[in-house]
Amino acid sequence: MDTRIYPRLTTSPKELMALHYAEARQAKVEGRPVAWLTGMAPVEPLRAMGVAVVYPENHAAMCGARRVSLELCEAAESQGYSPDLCSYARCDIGSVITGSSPVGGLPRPDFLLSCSNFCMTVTKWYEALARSFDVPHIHIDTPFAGDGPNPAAVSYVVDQLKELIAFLEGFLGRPFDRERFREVVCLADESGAIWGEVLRMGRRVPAPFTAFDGFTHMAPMVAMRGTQATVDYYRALYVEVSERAASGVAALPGEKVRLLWGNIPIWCNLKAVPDFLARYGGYFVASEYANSWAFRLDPDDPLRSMALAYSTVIPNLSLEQRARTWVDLMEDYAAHGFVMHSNRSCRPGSLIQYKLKEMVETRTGALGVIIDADMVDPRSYSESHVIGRLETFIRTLSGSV
Amino acid sequence: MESRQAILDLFAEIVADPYPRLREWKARTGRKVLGCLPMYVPEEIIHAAGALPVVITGGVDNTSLAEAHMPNFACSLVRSNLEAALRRELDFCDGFVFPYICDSMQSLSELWPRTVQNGFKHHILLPARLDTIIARAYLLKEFQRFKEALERLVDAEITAVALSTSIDIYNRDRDLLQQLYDLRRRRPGLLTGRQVQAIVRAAMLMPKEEHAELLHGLLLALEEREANCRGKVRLVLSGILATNLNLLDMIEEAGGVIVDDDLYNGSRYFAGLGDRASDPMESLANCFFNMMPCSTKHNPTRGWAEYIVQMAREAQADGVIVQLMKYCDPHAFDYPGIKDKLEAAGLPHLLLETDLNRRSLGQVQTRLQAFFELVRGV
Repeated sequence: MDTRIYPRLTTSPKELMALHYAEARQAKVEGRPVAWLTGMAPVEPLRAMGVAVVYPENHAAMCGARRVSLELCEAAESQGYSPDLCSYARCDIGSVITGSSPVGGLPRPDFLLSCSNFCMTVTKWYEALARSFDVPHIHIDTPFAGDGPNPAAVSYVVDQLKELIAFLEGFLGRPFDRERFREVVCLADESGAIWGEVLRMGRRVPAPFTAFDGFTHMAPMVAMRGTQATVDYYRALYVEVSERAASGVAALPGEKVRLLWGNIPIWCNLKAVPDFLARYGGYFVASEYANSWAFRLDPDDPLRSMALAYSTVIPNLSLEQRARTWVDLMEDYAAHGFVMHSNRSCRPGSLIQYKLKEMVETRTGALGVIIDADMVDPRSYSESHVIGRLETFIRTLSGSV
Repeated sequence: MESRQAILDLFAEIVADPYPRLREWKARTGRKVLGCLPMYVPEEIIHAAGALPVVITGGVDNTSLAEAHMPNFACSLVRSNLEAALRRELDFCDGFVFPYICDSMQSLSELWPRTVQNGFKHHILLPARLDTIIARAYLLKEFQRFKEALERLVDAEITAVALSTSIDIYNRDRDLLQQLYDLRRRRPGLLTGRQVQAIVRAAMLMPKEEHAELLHGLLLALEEREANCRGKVRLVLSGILATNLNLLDMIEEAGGVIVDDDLYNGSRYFAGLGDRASDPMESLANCFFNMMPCSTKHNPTRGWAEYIVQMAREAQADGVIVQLMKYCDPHAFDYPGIKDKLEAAGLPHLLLETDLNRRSLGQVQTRLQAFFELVRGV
């Protein structure tokens, strides 16, 4: 039985991502520097200096999707890391301890770069990695931006970026390549723009591209931002998706209920939720999550535009700003309802959710539901709970649209 | 001069039921009380504004009201403070100050106005990095922003002279608390763990001037006799916040004696005298950057694990009790490193997963006894 509910796009990030990991391994073999970065760390100066970068979060998501995360989490726990901690971190630490990984493991880092814009937990995770590998750990502190960036915090981040550049010069023993940096910033900006356009196609009725397509296709933006290959990738994706849009192809034929998704996906059981909802004609047209990477940079003012973009990602903004973002997305994408993932090991993503749900429901009149699970720890996933909640939700919603 | 016991009883009373006194202080002085969430709120600036900073540490026994507003996988500091506020126990506060220390505290700060009250709320965005001079310039601007917000609240200027005076008052109390802890290290058991905890907690719940007077009197009144701690297991308590008084009693009943701690409701609260820099804001910044190593602040060159080992050695401790609050991510990430360092230093330790409520500790008793047997057997 064909389990595909809707036609898959032919453009795929698999090859590009395989290249990404291969390049990092090759760099290690050739003695070129390798760095590990958090999901939303300012990578552009590193790219400009030819540092090969890998993203443990991306790797952990893959471990979740490939169903190997449980043993990795348990390995970290056997070393004293609490099972309550971020499952990305446990998965990653477990992978470092056991050497086990679906892509042959990440090459050993020469230094670590973290940025607390998504959460402060990454600082601690990377401190643990720094102890384990005994390598430098540079942390970019992006203070909470509230309703909007405050000038003192932006200056602080700009100064830290300058300090990062000075570190790179010292560590690599050569001057910062400003020309290459400008190129990288242009490429990052361009891919951010195209990625944003791709995501916006989800606004069409019917949508040719789902939020879950977004979770797959965002990988190059996260891990290969600032490269020509990424720009080419998103151009190709944009062409394919707009052709579908032009011919009225729906990602979910017979779409009935358009939904928004909130928080990190349930990587360890990714298809369960969209496949179930598809049976009722429901599918996800947008996510707050994938939108985070559709940011713009200014090659004429790179450090300041980076400081602003990196500081004002949604998780670093106030509850009010988050609610407004949701309301705008609900309107732009003509969504009827929303599903928020209460991600057990992600406190920053989940603690404000009950209130956020209430605010979105009140302001839009739409119905939402919260499902309890975890991004990569399968022990926190209960099918009966998730399906039970969704069933009530989708029946109510599809009855009223 | 009050007797030793009378002062100790007063501290215990204040801690057991602090809020009526605070309401009475407000009524008497007409001034404001600001509830400060732990940790590192620069209280001196609040004091210089003529308001009373009070550290609210939560610790209610059930969080049924909070559950409707927040998932249960948040630490008890956050949940129990939310609970206390929802129960209207904190209504005497004219406002609240939240420190930027971790994701959960940030979430609480965001939920607070929409859940609890919409009065004065300030989220002081302390830098997370202690390892760069860049953070200092930022911190000074953040102190300035806080000062301006307080000036608007009390409708008066906070002068440099007032701030220096407040720093002096705070330093006096810090110095006395330091003397108390020095005394405890020299003569463990002279006061019970519960008594010492009450002294520190009381400092968080009353004007520092009054606390210093009482503590000064207590230190004078303490007899010059050897405390009997022969045969007792000398322990250091390590953690972020651990306010369970029953646990302290249990430790002592099992034959332990507390010689030192690095808790926020302990030495961390009064660590670091504000120095006599010419500019009071610079003095506060120095205090911040010289803080005891903390899980919530990034400083690769000065680790908490090493600090605990050093503290245990200086206090001639036989072992360490690590009190890890459930769902405290920063501490839980640090724990494996702390464990390794303690083991390498030959210091036995017991990990207790705790929360702030005052439930009975049945299982803990058994584990304590086993731990003491292990320590004595070494």
